[in-house]
Amino acid sequence: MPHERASLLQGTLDLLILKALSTGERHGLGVSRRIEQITDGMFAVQPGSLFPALHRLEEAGWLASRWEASEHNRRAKYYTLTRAGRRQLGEETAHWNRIALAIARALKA
Amino acid sequence: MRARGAIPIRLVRLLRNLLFRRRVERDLDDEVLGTLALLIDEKMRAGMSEADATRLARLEPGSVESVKEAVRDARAGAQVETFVGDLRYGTRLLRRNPIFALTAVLSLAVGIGATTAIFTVANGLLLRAAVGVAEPDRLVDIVRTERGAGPGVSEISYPEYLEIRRRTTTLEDVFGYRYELDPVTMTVADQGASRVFANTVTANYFTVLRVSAAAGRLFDTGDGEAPGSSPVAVLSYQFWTRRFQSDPALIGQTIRLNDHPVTVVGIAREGFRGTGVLAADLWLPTAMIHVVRPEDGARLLTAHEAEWLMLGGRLRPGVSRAQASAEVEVIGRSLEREYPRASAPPAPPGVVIRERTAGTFDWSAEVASPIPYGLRTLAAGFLALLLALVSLVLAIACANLAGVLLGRATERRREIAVRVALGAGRRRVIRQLLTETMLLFALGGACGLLLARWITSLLVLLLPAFPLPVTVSVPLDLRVVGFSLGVSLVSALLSGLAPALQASRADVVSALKDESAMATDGRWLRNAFVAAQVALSFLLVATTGLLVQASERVSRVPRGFDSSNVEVASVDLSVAGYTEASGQAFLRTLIERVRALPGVETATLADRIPGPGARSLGSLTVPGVAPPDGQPSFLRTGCSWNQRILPRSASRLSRAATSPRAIGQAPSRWPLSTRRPRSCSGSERTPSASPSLRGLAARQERIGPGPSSCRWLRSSPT
Repeated sequence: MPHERASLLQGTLDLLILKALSTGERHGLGVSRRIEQITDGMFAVQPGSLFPALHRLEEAGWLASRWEASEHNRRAKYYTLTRAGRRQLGEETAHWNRIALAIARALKA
Repeated sequence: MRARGAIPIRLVRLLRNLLFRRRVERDLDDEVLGTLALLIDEKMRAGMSEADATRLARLEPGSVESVKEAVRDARAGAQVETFVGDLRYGTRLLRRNPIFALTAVLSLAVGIGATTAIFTVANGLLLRAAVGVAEPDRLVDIVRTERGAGPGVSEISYPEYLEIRRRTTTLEDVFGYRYELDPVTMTVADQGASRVFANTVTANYFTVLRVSAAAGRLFDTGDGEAPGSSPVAVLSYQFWTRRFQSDPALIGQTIRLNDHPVTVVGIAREGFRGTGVLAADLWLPTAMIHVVRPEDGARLLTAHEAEWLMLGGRLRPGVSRAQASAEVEVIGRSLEREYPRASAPPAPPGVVIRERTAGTFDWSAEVASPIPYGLRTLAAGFLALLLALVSLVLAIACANLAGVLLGRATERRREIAVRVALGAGRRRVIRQLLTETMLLFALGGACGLLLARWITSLLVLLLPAFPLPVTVSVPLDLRVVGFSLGVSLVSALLSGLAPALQASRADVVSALKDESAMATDGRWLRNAFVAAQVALSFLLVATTGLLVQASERVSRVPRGFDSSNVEVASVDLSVAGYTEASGQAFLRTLIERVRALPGVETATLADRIPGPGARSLGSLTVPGVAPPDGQPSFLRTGCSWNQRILPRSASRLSRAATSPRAIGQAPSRWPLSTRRPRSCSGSERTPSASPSLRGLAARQERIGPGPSSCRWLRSSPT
């Protein structure tokens, strides 16, 4: 069972969700699994943080959602990046890279 | 970092979240449960039994409800939802405890109602223009105040009015009106004579105020300003209804005012009773000033020294009051320069002139309100005192409620502990408790507003019987509603914060285990509230007692005469058509007959009743000194003793109940009541210098239409 091995740095959750959705449409659990996958199991996002974040990002206009029947005749909510979301992903990536670079440099000094 | 286009999306979401709550909730439910099902599937595919998978899946995300709650908190409009939820819970609590709710709301209603009532009066008298005018915010009062002079009314002459009107660029137009009302004898064809109160106003009065007509027309540009050129009158709606039963045929009819034919051209709209606190029955244009002032009407329209108008103006769109005030000051200054005041003649030996109008003046444009600018500080001071007193009542109610809330918080600490144990933060608990208090105060405020309506109308009803008709319209406007809302919220915060803070400090374990642990904790606070309540009540009682004592002492101030057993009545002989000569004869007979009544010790006549406030504002001639322009100088005098006072004594008239009626019904005339004094000798000016007097003065009040009838009033100090 993957547990939360590292607490998410503040503000990184949004970035990870945007990144996870950049490769295509996913439902909530799919986003969670994708984040685990791309971080090599470093981060496991709990639904208690994931769903509020998804709703918040959707309300901010960065995600769009639609309902679709999933495998077992259940409704599942699928999220995609909007154009604004893609732009936001770019901005946040650049921002994060700057910070990471600065921290790395600081630690090397 | 947030995208700029996000705001409208968020707004749409907010509306959706608030309006389609049920659907939003169902979607959320589907989403979370759907995820759970997917999780179970995932685990079963990995080889788990369904039961194990379900158990683990349920463990993993935490409880479904807590996930949903977390989403709800993140959603747009979460604050509103929380507030609504708290409000709903608060309502339920109040309904469960109706006695508490009722007493709390009632005590708050009294406090908030009393404060709002006083504020309503202050608002009506000081902060807003008269009722019935359009765009009152753009009206200003043009005032001239004497530097260093005490409170008083300062008027402006007609030529100066014309000059200001001609020179102003910041004001659309300037109007003028007489501060005092003039008693006029009105004769309507075959209906006999009656006394009415007329107000003289400039012909543009209604146009500038934008008062509409209820019937006919009001004064307009067609009404000339040359003396005598426009014999027209406009009636107040109330007078038209009361005296003429809203007879539309009156419009266009000619009535006689002080024996001058005047055509009634129209009725002012309902609710408009003039710009001051005195309610006029009818309005006359300045061109007809000689109707009310036969002795000096012509002079009033030409002399720079004859100051008799209050001025007001309407700001041009986009012009501020400060700009207009600066301009009025410049115009006023140049007027003072261009028309210097003649210096007053030197006082003859033995006469001390205490006041004369020859000082420096400041001109300005002030907020329009029914109370003249020079008297506003007085009125504001008095109202502030009243407001402070009723605020004490509210403070007591608040302290009382705070104590009760504290007690309830102690009772509810179990419930609060459960909330905290379930994960509610301290802020959340405080917020919930404050919302409950706010609800209580909002209810109290709403009831208070209703109560204020009632209290203000009661206050207006309780006004003493003035010799002149007084109008006090105290409209409930946005400012008043805002005031009572503000008062409610602030007092809710003040009295709810301490109990909420105290309650939120609940120690979960001890609160859940032990009943009495916190009871001691809040005790000192509760004692403090009780102490505050007692102290405030004591202060209130003491202040009220002092005020009552002070007003009693004022009425007991020696006036230089014995006012016990003195009855006062007034008659106006002009109404019945007496002339000066026949009136004198009538009065002589009247007084002799009254003196002959059993039980009357003595009786006398007076132009004005001596007492506090009985100052006359009018012409003063000093015997042996001729005024410079042949006219009496307009001086404000302390002269209330130009009456013919007969220093004999009379008493127990009140017990001869039938006899006064005989006097009252007799046709009567002459300058007993509100006529201006004609002369006064300097040595009689101070009441204390007068000989002791006991006697009868007459005073009349008209009741309803028809031939003159009298009501007898007791003089106040007896």
